[in-house]
Order: sequence, then structure tokens, then C-alpha cells
Amino acid sequence: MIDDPIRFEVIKNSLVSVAREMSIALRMSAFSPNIKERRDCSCAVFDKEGNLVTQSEDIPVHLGAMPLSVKACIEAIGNEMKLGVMALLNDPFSGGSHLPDLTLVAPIFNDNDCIGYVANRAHHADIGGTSPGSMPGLAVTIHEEGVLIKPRIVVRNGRLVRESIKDLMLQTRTPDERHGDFSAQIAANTVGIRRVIECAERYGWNEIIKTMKDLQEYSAGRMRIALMKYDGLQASFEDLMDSDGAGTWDIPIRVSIRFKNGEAYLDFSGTMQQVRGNINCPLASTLSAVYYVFIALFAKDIPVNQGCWNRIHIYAPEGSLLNPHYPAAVSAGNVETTQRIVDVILGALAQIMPDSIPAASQGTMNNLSIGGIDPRTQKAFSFYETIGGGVGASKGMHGTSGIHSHMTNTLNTPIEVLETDYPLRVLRYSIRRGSGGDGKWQGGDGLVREIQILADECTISVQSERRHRGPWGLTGGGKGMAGKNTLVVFDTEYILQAKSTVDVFKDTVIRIETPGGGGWGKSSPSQQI
Amino acid sequence: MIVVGVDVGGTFTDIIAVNTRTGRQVVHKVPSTPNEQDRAVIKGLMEILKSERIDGSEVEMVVHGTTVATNALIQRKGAEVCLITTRGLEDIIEIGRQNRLDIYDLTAQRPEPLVRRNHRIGVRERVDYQGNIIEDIEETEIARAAERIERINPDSVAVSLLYSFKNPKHEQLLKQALEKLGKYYVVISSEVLPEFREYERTSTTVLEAYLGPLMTEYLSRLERSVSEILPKSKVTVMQSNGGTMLASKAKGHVISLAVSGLAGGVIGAWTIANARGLKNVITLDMGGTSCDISSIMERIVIKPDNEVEGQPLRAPSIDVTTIGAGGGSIAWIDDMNVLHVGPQSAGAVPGPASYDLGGMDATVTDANLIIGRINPNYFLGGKKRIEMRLARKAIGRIAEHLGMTVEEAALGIIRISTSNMVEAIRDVTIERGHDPRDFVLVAFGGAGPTQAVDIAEMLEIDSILIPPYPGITSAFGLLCADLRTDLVQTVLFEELEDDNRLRSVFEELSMQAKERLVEQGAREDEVHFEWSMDMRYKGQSHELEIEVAQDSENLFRTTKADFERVHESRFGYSLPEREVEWVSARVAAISEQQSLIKKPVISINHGTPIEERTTIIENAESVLAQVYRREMLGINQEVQGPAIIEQVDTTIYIAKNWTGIQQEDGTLLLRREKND
Repeated sequence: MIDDPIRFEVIKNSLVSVAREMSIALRMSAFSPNIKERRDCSCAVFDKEGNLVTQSEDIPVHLGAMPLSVKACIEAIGNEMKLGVMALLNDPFSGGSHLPDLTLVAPIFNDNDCIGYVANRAHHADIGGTSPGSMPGLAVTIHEEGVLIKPRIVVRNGRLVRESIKDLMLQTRTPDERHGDFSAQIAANTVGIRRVIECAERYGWNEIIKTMKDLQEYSAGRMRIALMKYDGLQASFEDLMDSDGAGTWDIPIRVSIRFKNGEAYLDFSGTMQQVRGNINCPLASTLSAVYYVFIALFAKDIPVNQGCWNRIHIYAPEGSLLNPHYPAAVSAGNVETTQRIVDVILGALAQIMPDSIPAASQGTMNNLSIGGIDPRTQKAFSFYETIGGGVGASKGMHGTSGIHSHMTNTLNTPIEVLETDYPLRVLRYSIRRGSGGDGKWQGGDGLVREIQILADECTISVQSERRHRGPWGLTGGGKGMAGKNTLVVFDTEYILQAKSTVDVFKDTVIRIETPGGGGWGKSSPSQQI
Repeated sequence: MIVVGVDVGGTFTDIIAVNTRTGRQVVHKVPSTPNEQDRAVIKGLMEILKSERIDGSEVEMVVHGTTVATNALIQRKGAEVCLITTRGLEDIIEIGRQNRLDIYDLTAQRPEPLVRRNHRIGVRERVDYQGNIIEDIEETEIARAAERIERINPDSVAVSLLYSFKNPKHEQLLKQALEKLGKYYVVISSEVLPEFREYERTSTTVLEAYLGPLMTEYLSRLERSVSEILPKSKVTVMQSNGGTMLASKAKGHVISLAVSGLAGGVIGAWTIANARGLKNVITLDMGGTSCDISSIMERIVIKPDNEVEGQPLRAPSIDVTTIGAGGGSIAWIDDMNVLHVGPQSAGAVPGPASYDLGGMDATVTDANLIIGRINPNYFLGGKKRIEMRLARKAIGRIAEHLGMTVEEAALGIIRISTSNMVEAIRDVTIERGHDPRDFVLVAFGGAGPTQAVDIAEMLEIDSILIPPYPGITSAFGLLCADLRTDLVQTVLFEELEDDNRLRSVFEELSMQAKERLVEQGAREDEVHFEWSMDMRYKGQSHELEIEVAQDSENLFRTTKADFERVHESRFGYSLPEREVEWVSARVAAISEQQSLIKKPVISINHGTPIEERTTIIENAESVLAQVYRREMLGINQEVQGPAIIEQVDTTIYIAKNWTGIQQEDGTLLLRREKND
């Protein structure tokens, strides 16, 4: 119960800025381009049960998934979470998303009482596994994707205990960079704890604990009001994934959505069983995809926390693509399957609220990893990035071109940083003209990125989707153009599959053309001239 | 001699004229003319000459703070720009950093780029990361680009090639060829911003091309008109970096004027505070729609970049945070019955409900009226009548929703509006590791002094300084600004090498900067320099700016030690075994303005209250406040709270447990009584 709405607002603002400050500290002091330039990281504050209280608005796929990580920590090693301690984990079968996303959790103490947690998640560019970048295109078990870390203490008295991550440091191709990024992750949590304590010194611990709880009730209440408008409505939708990279094609994801008494029920029955390849999507990532859509549509100005989610009930059958068992390969699940989950939910909701739903966006993150030995230093390098594409058009609005949509929002690597840090040269980075779907409102265009390899031998891995079917349009709008991955070797072009890992020689060029967004509404004849 | 400051704001254009010999100051306000700002400027100048009987030929300098550039960006009224890039990278200006502003935006929008797709021209050429030319730019390629530009016939051309900050040769060749055409405003990125990261450099260069024609035209028109009424006067413009520049020298440097309008207030407040020996100051300029906040320790912070209307701008700018909190900020209730204030504002029209211009929304000004701080009969010195009845009606609706009395709701609105400003102040102090309790709050603008005590209470700040003319502090600040030029050069030095290499980069930049200042009339022996270095651990990509002592015997060694120390204090760790990178050298050349702070004439007689008024304080308790007029206060007069001091341009509220003391220098110092 909020008894002083004004004090509530004031403390809420402080808790929101805790998460934001953590995020700034993390990326300003990080070392790998993926975190420092592309900001592939997120931070949040939790109550003592591990429920989300406030978050930095960084990467959607991280944010919905982090509470399960914190809860997994509490469950596994809660009794070890003492003052000055931080725990690390990435286990996709217990709160994690995919192995490169390392989550660092730290308890907040008032004397001897743990009153909550801060945590941050950062995508590390290499954590071992069969190919550089730890996102192998063709893995069939989790162990090919890198080191699996169950919750364990890695920081004591605020300092990293190097011994505790020896396994990771032995397997990663870039241990120096990992060490730097861990320092940044520790710095972020330290900043977060310090800031919560300052807040408590001002308002008292009881007020802080109470606000953490009130805030969730407040959001839950507003979410209920927002969902109530659609009471009694329901719809279903199905869409296909291209492939799993291990022999299975056209993989269905199906959802049925029902609104009842201010709550939403999503049932993913009819979705394919878990597959051999790497597109299995850990439960935490499935939840974050669902939460993303519901926040975007129903909670625009509601503070995002566990309260919003308590109104959303999700059934993802165990052993299915969206709730896989160990030891499934999962690296593309978090980045690619989540995008398709968003598409099927939007597809279903378009039947309920047609004017508010955009056509399908690119529906992939176009993950590209390149690794080998840098001839300039003779050291191993491991480069990872994702590439934007077209956004689906919506009623009254053309789709934007060459931008990240839905589950990610990472920045690109500046070319002048990329070429300085890696033996690579960018030959082309441009809008893929004409790739957006036709319509009264046109889909956004995708991008073309061409990178030339300047090292003698390199391994390239691609994890992508929408290479066979373009993103769908709505109410008569056309499809966006499907994406395309091409290898250019001495002027000869070879098409790569949606999921691929290949070894290449110097001067080879990898060209990624990303999908355009779907169109909205039939185009009028005058537009087609 | 007489110097004049002219500050253009959203509602008013403020003018201050100071006789530097006698210290006499006169001020004047005229309504702004947003579409042609120079009209109000000239009108105001003519009026003040007439009313104060000043001979135009006595005026030697006009310093101008303008929002022409900012408005051109907001309204998209800049030049038609062509952009030349390395082939294959034409669309970087549109793609930006490929991210969206709001992660929960299903339709992922971003601002339209300032250069259309068919106005982007790629040329065959390539320079690598070390500055080596891998592919020469051919004569025919240059000719082809020039031909295309002539066909499009834009207003201006921006050239931004990859790694031009390492090797500008190709950009220079293009510039020579395009300038021969004689028709276009041509700018190249290696001159505008020789810094790495192609998107930010390109965006900044495009902004220069976009704003250049318009700004140079505006300034030369203004200069012509000023010379007609003030025949001997120079015209200078405030830059975003807090230094001034001769209006006639703006060509090629107009991006440095992008947020010209924000700097005056910070400089004015800092100058007034610094003259009293204060070192740690938070400036708070609260007007009708927004509030500009800056924290200063020892000196004004100039940050290397900025963002205007979603366009990144790498130009040194005074560090000011602007939030949507002003007297006109609207109070509203969400569907869970929680009260919010702003960021929407009722603006000047229709304005707060009490203005009786048709506004129905309850605003902060209405709340201040209800709790008795603002005098309905003395708003703007009685020139504007405001209606208590309408304020009660608007806030009554909020109160009813919340099940409170009107007074309780009004207090709540002020408390939330205060907390919004408090959060912004925390962002610029606590977030940077400073304790706001160590600062003095300098509150000004039309609405700042009315809420200053509430803000100070929440932050536990125990002194507040109110300038003599709070509403005209920005115009005053223009007259206190130094001549200043900032230059930067990316060097990317990696390990401890010959110290002379680093020193010669700084010396070369210092020479260039000095030349620019001398061109603008500075005396060579009066120019001094500030050196700093952007540094990071090799592998990081956000740099920390480290001050560089010019007399250091070993620049590399001292900067490295300082960097480790700053990194430790900022992030809680340092990594002494890691290599450090020296990324960009920064030089500021400054020629200081002589002090204009002269003692104003203040009466020694202590004034008496003009009335008593009921004001509402915490828990909706009523207390009687003594009401004074500012001009009637005498030197060292103490005013015990609860009290209200009214003046034409603002109302100062002094709470219980606070005392206001009129200072000899014309400022008013508010102090909180210690609790113990």
C-alpha cells in the first residue's frame, strides 16, 4: 500500500537512477568493444526474493531474463551470499540465457540483513567453445558453446578471486579482455550497492524495503487496468524459424493468447520440441521476449518491474524449443528465437488490436563472429557484432531502415575502432535499398555490411534468420526481402546458410545483407510508379 | 566604455548595459521575436539607448547569446547539404549507431538524417587506421564528385572520409576543388573535428554545413544593423564552450554556437559566486518551461560533446543539464492515483491556469500562488494580473482525485517538482562522486528563487545565493565571458615514448589557438592555455579527461599517474599492469575578460515589511510570513523566515529556520539554521 504517494515517487526515482548509474559505470570502464562500444550489457536492482525492482533500459533480452538468474543464485548459494561477495553464473538451464551472457550478482546488506541485490549482465565476446566468439553456427550441445558456469562466488571483499574463474580463463581466447570486463562488472555492482546505501541513509532502510514492495504492487495494479481493456479476447498465431543449423528446417513456434480479468495467458503448445541445433531458447529468454512485447504495448509509462509480470502467465512446454532440457545447444536461442517469439505474439495481437501492431521487423540479430590470429600482434582475436535491419511499417508510419528492433538495441562497432582493434577492413556499410516490404506504409530497408579479412586464417560464424522467408506484412502490405549471407573469395560468390561456421583465408570478404521490414496496408497504384 | 549583453530567451530578450568605469548597470526586457531574433535585439538596444540616454558611439562591445542554431535544428530549417564520404560508407549519417532511443518502441524511430539519401556521394579512396593511403583519390574522381554537386546545387557541402584525422590529404584535395566552384559553404571533417569514430565526426561536420549558411547570414545581418546604431561597437557571440567569438569570424566554426543560449546563465551565476570566494556551486536557472542545472567545482566544466535534437555534436560545451521543470510544468494523475509533475509545460500560452489565458492545467506556478508564496497583485511587478480563483479550481481537481485539500495538493505538486530538480542535481553531483552538501546553490531565473529553499532542504544544502537581478543573470553572464578557443587532435600514442612528441602536439595546438584569439583582438601576452589529455587503458574506449600541467618535466609520466588515480576514484579500481593510451590532446586558449563586478549602490537603511501574508507549509500548517520588497533591503539586513521577498523579476521564499542576509555586493544570501 502506498501511504505517501509523494515520498514513493521520490524514492522510486532514486532507485531508477541506481540502475542507470551502474550501467554507465559498466560500459565506461569495460574493455571489449562489444560492451564498451556496443553496450551489450544491462543492470538492475532486485528485492531480497530476487524480484526485479528497477532496471537500466538497455537490452530487452537481458532485462526480462535477469530475475531468474538472481533467483537461481539465491536458491543455489544463498547462504554464501555474504557482505562483499559477488556471484557469477551463465547456466542457461537455470536462469541464464546463453553462455556469453555472464551475470554478476551482489547482495546489499544493512548490518546483517540482506535487503536486496544488484546485478549486471554483459555479453562477453569469447568464453571458449569450438569457435571464436563462442557463438558457433553448428553446435549440437551446450559444451561446444563454451564454459557453463553454475552460480559460484567469484568476488570476495570487493576483489576478483582469480582462482575462482580459472576454468573460464583457460578456455577463453582473450583472457586479458575478460579480466578487464570483469573489473568493469564488479565496478558496476559496487557503484550500485553504494548508491542504494546512500539512499537508505537518507530515507531509512524500512522505507527502501517498503518502496521496493510498493513499486511492484503499483506496477501490477496499473498493468491490470491496462490489460482489462482486452478482457475476453483471444487469438493464436504461428510462424516458422528457418533452420537450426543441424538438419532441421521450418521449425514452428505457436502461441495462443487469452485476456481474462486483467491478466494475460500465453500458451506456447504446438511449438516444436527442442532441436539438435543451437536455436533452443532457454526459459529465461522466452520470458523476456514475452515481457518485452507486453511492456511495449501495455506499459509504456509504467515502471518496469516484477509487478508488471505477475499479470502475465506463460506456459512453455518442458522439453520444447522454448524451454529446453540440458544439454541442448542454445547460443542462437537467446538472440534469434526470441525475435521470432516476438513476431508470433505480435501476429496474434494484430488480430485483437490491428491498428497498434506493426508488420514484422527483420526478425533476426544477424550475429557475426570472426576470430583468428592478428598478424600485427600474433595474438588471438575474437570479434562479435550484430547488425540492424528493417523495421516493420505500422498504420500511419513507414518502417525505419537499418536499425535494431525488438530484443536487442546494441550499437554498431565504429569502423575506425573495428579496423584499429582487429585485422579487418569494412568495405561497405550501407542501407540495402528497396528491401523493405511494399505497402501504403513501407517497411524499413535492411543493411549491407561487407568486411574483408586481413589475417591469414580466420573462422567466421554466422547465426541469422529470415534467410528463407522475408518478414511478413500486415493488412495487405508486402513482405520485406529475406536476408542473405555471402562469402566472396577471389570474385566468386558463395551463399552461406543462415547458421554457418567456415574457415577462410586472407582477403576473403563476408557480406551480410539484412532483411527489410514488412509493409502495412495495400499500396495505392500511384505509389508503384 | 559601455558594454552590452543581449540574451535571447524563449519569452523575453534580456539586455544589460554596463558602464565599465562607473559600474553602473541598467537592464531592459523586450518580447522575443523567435523567427528573426535580431529584430528584438535591435529594438531592445534602441529602447535602452533612448530610455537611459546612452550615446550609441559610447558602446564598445555587444555580446550576444542566441538560440538561432538550436531553433534551426528543432525546426529543421538549416541548409540543403551534400555529403561526400569514402565509397561504400555513404549511409553512415543515416544508420548512426544503429540503435533506437527507446528500447520499448515497437516501431523503432530515430530523427531523420540531415542529408537526404540522393545527396550523399561516395568517392573511391582509402586511408588505413595508421593514416597510410591504400587507394589514392584520382583527379577524375574529384571531378566526378564536383560535377554531381553542381547538378544538385546545394547550399553547402560536408566532406567526411574514413581516418581523415590521421591523414587529411584527400579531404583537403576535395576542399580545394569544391572551393574553386565558389558557390558553396564547404567544410571538411579533419578541420571541424579531427577525432576518431566516423559517425560522430560525420554528424558534427554535417551540422557545421547545415547551420553554417544560416548562422553566418544571421550574424552578418546583425552586425550591419548594430553598426548603424552603435557605430564603434564590436559584436561577439557566446559559444557553447562559454567563451566568446567575434561574429565576423564565425564562418567554419558555427557548430561552436549550437547551444550558445545556455552558457550565459552558468557563467553569470558562477562569476557572481566566485567573486564572493565560493568554490563549489550548483547553478539552477528555472524559468517557465525548463530548468538548467550545472555543478561547478573550482571552475566551469567544459565537456567534449553534446547532443542537440538527437544529433550527436562533438563540440566542447559547458556542462549543463536541462530538464522539463519550470513554473509552467503541468501536474497530472495517473490511473493508479499517483501524482506527477511535468515534463509537459503549459508554456507562455496558455500558461498556468491562473494566467486566465484559457489554460486549464494545474501548474507549479498555480501551486505557489495557492500556498501564498506568489503575490497575485505583484506578478512581474504588477504588470501581469493572475487569478487565485482559477488556480484553486485547477488544483482543486487534482486534490479531489487524491482525496486531499487544495493546499495539500499544492504542497504535493511543489514537492514533486522539487524532487525532479533534486534528482537532476544528484545526477550532476552524487553520480560524479560529489556531496551536494558541500555546495552553495545559486538560484535564479524567474522561478528558481521561489523553490530554492525546498531544493536545498531536500539536499541538505545550507546556503543559497540569489543574484541581484535573478531574471537577467544570463545576460549579465555574457559580459563576464572570456575570449576562448578549444582545439582537439586525436593522437593515439601508446606507450611511454619521447616526451617531446607529446609536448610538440600541445604546443602546435596552442599556437593555432592563440592565432585565432589574436585574430579576434586578444593581446598575445594575455592569452593563457589549459591543456588536457583524453586517456584510457588500452582496450577501453571511453576516455577520462586528465588535466595536463604545462610545466611538468615528463608529460607522459605525470599524466599516467594522474589517469590511474582518477580511474580509481571514478570506478573503484585501477589496473597498473595494463598499458595506457593517450587518445586526444585538448587545448583551450583563453583571454580573460576584465572583471565587471562592481559594487552596486545599496542603501544602508533597513527596509520594513510591506505586509504579512499567510503561507502554507509542511502538513498544510499556516504560518504568517513577512513580505519585503527587494529594493528596500539595506546592507547586512537580516530577514528571518518565514518571509517572502518580492522583486520585479522573481519572488524569493525564505522558509522557517532560514535567514536571508542582504549583502554589500547586491546578492542575497540565505542560510539554514543549524539544528544542533
